[in-house]
Amino acid sequence: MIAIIDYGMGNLRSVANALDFIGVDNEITSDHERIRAADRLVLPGVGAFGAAMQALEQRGLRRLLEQQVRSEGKLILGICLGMQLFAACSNEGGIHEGLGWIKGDVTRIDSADVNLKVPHIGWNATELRSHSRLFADIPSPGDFYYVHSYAMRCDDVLISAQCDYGTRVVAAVEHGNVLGTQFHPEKSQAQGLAVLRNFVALSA
Amino acid sequence: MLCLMMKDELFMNSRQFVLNPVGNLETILQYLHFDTIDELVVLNVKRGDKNMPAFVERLRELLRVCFVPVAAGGGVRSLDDCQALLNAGADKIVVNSAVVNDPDFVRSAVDRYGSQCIVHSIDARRDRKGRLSAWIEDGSVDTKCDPVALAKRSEQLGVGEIFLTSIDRDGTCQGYDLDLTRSVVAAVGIPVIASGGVGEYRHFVEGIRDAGANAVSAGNIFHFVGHGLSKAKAYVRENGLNFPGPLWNFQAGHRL
Repeated sequence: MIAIIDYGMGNLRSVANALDFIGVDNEITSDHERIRAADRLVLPGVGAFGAAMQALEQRGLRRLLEQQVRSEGKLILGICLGMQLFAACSNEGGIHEGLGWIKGDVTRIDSADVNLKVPHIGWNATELRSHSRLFADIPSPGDFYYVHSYAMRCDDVLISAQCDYGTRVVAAVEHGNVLGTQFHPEKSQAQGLAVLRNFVALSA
Repeated sequence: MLCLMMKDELFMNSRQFVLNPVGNLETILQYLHFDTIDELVVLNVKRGDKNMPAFVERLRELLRVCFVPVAAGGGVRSLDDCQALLNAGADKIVVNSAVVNDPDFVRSAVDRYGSQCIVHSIDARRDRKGRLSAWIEDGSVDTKCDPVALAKRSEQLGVGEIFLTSIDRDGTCQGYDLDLTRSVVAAVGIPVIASGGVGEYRHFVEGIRDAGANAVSAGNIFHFVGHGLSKAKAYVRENGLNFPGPLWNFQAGHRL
């Protein structure tokens, strides 16, 4: 079973719909027991970084996730803000500490092209790196759907996909059992569903 | 993108905001190929009491089979409304009257969900002299406010996108109000989606190339039946516009 972590601010239903569609048992939950019982986790997210970290703290989820992901080595897929929360910090609306699982930070998209607007909303051609586990058997470049104003910066070796938006935007990170996509696989039609299938097929 | 208008259990076509039913969820699912749509806007166009809970339930049904980005709204007044729509599977919230009636709520929605989550739908109408003004409450109340000024105000509130509809052009198949679109595009730094008036594929091209819209929407669902959208996108690309997004292969789209 995949636990979709409910911390009060995500596009939870669409993730659940996509997992239902590919035939994977899943549950939207903030219940610690259910999260412990899951064999993998999805951390979705729509919203602001600071509020999201606060919401995780308030539900005791930060500690639980720390234990499940860091100590137990459970697979986790962060989506959009969910991926950004893996970083050490973000400067969205002040400086906020993140989960710190990916050595990197989250900053506002700084596009060199003044014609490109922020937030970065829409489909974008995405260069997929061959070592990636999330993008196995998906032809590069892929088309994925993005909605974000902030983006992650991290060690190049952790990046498994990137897109260009007047600047390089980190599209996906993979660091052992910690995986994340800046885009929304649950909103990216067939290729997005393929990413979710790959995540489901991974072994920790 | 496709704009679906719902009134109770029925999907509606709209002509200058006068509604006509085109089918229920079953017929929509039968005839529309959601895997060829880049983005979906679903609006509760029920007049008067919106019956939000019923709309949320129908949205939830619709989105079980639809893996594209969805903006939903119509009568959104509170953070609870926002949360209910997001829980039903929406990615973005569409606000309209609230920007005029309750800007504090819009600001708090931006604070809570982020700019990228809040779309301001502006319904603009020209008076006899051709002067533009924004209308709210399903196009029934004239704010006497210039749509450009309103768009700027909502950008200041932190709204992430403008969904700009010409009431005059809506459902007329005469093409977008390009002057309206151009003036709003020039005034704000956030993406603007042109809506209202598409009758031919070339209107999509005009909206993007001539008026500078970041995306184009059509509400007449018959554009999207069968291969309509694939053809529309191919047409737009043939005309030299390389906007991002998958060039849907109709059959591949079905190979989910």
